Amino acid sequence: MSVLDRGIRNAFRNVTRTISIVLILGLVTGLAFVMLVAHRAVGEKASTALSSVGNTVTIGPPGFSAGEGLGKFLTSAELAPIAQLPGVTGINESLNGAASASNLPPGNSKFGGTTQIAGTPGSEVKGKKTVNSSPRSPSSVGAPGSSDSPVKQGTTSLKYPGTMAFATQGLACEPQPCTPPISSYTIYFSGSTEPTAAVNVSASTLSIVSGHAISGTSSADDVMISQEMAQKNGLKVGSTFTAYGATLTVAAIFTSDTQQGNDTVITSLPLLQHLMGDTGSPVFNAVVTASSLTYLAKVTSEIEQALGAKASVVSYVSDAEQAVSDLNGVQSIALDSLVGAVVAAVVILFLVMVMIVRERKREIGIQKAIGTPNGPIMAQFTAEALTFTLLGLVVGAVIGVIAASPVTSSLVSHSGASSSTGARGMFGAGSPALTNLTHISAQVGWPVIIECLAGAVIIAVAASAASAWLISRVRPAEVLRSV
Amino acid sequence: MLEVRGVTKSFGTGDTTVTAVDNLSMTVYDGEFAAIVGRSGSGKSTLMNLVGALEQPTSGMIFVDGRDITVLDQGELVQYRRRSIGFVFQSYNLIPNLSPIENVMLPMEFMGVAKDERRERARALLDQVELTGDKQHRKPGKLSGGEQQRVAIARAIANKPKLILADEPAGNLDTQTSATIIELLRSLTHSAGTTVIAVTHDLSLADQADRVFRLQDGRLTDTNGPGPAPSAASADGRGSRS
Repeated sequence: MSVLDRGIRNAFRNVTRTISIVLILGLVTGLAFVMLVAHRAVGEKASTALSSVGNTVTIGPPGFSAGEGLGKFLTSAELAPIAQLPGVTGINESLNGAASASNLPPGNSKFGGTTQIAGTPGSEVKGKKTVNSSPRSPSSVGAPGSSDSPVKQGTTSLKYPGTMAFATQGLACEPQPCTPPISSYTIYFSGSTEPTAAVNVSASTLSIVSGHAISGTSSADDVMISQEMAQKNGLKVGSTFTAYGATLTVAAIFTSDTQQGNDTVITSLPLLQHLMGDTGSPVFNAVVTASSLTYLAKVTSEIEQALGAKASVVSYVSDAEQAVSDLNGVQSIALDSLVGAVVAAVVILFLVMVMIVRERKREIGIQKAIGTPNGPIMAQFTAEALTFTLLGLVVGAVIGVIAASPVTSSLVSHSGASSSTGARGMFGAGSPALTNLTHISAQVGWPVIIECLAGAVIIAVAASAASAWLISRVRPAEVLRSV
Repeated sequence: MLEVRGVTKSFGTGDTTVTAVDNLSMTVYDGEFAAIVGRSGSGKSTLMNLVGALEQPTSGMIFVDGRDITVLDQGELVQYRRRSIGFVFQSYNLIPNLSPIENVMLPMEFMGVAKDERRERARALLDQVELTGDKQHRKPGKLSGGEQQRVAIARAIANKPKLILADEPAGNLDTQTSATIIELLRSLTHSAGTTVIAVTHDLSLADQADRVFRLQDGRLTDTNGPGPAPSAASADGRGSRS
């Protein structure tokens, strides 16, 4: 029988006591388990939310972030100095347009022929999102009050490929036909200096499946359309169609992961500016990328100074920080509770081990008298403490698996974190990660189990330190004399 | 050979100092069965603890086979107890949740003896002290006093020590069992040449000793025995106590 065997066997010498100790430790480690899971889950949610917004700053016309009427659009010339600012690694300027498709929605007998273009005077776009929070949504393409915005009504020979129709008011209806019937389908145009950026079409992925990506700075009549659009219209790379009275060539066909992306024609920024009138190279918005999150605040400040009242500057990091501040509070509570539970476990086990060592002083004396060194005796008691802790951990893990998710949800729901946190102005938060912050999946995974095992070993060793000290002080002559 | 030379052991209790062993000298030869007798508090157990390296003397030297154990460090003392000493206690002092076999295996664990060999030797030792069969696997609490003391003796001789220190080995036993245990201890001096020193009140045990040391107030007052002729003393199985 080895030291380890004896330690484990000793843990079961008094079954009633063992059950009591294991249950108490189980409750405490269960709390620790739950708090560890909650801490990790909330931390990951907050981290994901922060990292998802990236190190970018979005610049739009005045009113862009406030959900009010938009002011005058910026121009490429006004944005040119921004690219030169320290810490700026890139700038994606974009403009949006919309043109009526050549096919009609169900239930509509005549072609409407109206065109929705960013900044069109008189277009009746409300300031709040109704269906889609993206800057590319119909709600975002109009700008009441933008007095000298580019103006050009457009139509296209393309047929609308999707299933969801947007009416001229920017509202969607599904299933169709809409009630009341809408006058036409709208196909969106996105002109960008970075045409392959998925964010231009409110998608998270955009892949070229045939042809070659267009240049964002070229004025050539080349465009990119979705595979869905190409199939609906019988187009392939090299085919042509008309929009805004011009003939455009399909240079590439792409796929995206959103319907809105598949409904959009992607052009270079100069081409769309040209199609929409080319009055001063307007830019609807620009996404500036900082070299790192560290520089984001500084870059934001410099952009605000450079553009002044001409632009509205939005950094989603501040939104995200605001949004996750409540989650950070929950994380802090979870961490405090975790530390408290671990300390409680150490104290409980410490007292148990002190009691056991005092009770077995005589046995320790006998072992010392027959030539057992201190080390193996201490190891024997540590094995006993570890047995208690691991059994407690099993009980705690069961409690943790059952309670982690509801406790985390309860903590988060009482923290003040909003399920819709992050929505901001007429263009929303711009990051889906900032919505549903309270929807946290607290799952017990292997990393948590491994951390708890490591913690159990540390707790057992820490609690055994006291017993080790007591063991080292046992003098066999004294304990054997006291018969 | 055990040689105690001018050993004193004092205990300080508050302002007073109690001298349990006072400038004591004695010699026990290899293979002798020696008895230490004296009244309660005369220093018998303290002397045993000093010889067994459970306590350090205040002054004096203790030589075991020519080696002064009073100058050994803690690690060497542990090793000395493990290799050279076997303890037999009045209250047996077995580990209660270990079976007799496991109790006897315990001292061998740190002598580098393989587990299977430890088990085999423990079984043989228990057979030797006539604790056989199912009793080798019972918990000590389910054995009689005499059986527990047999286990204690088997444990004491597990590492083939030179010296067995028995503190009142028959103190808790009836007369018949006591005689059996004493005979068992005595037989060890014959079979293995082990030196046995027994502290006792029991005159029947002292009668069988090769040499008897009488202690009073920590001092040796009388010594009876044949002197340095252990083999001769052992040969007839009795000391020449007067």
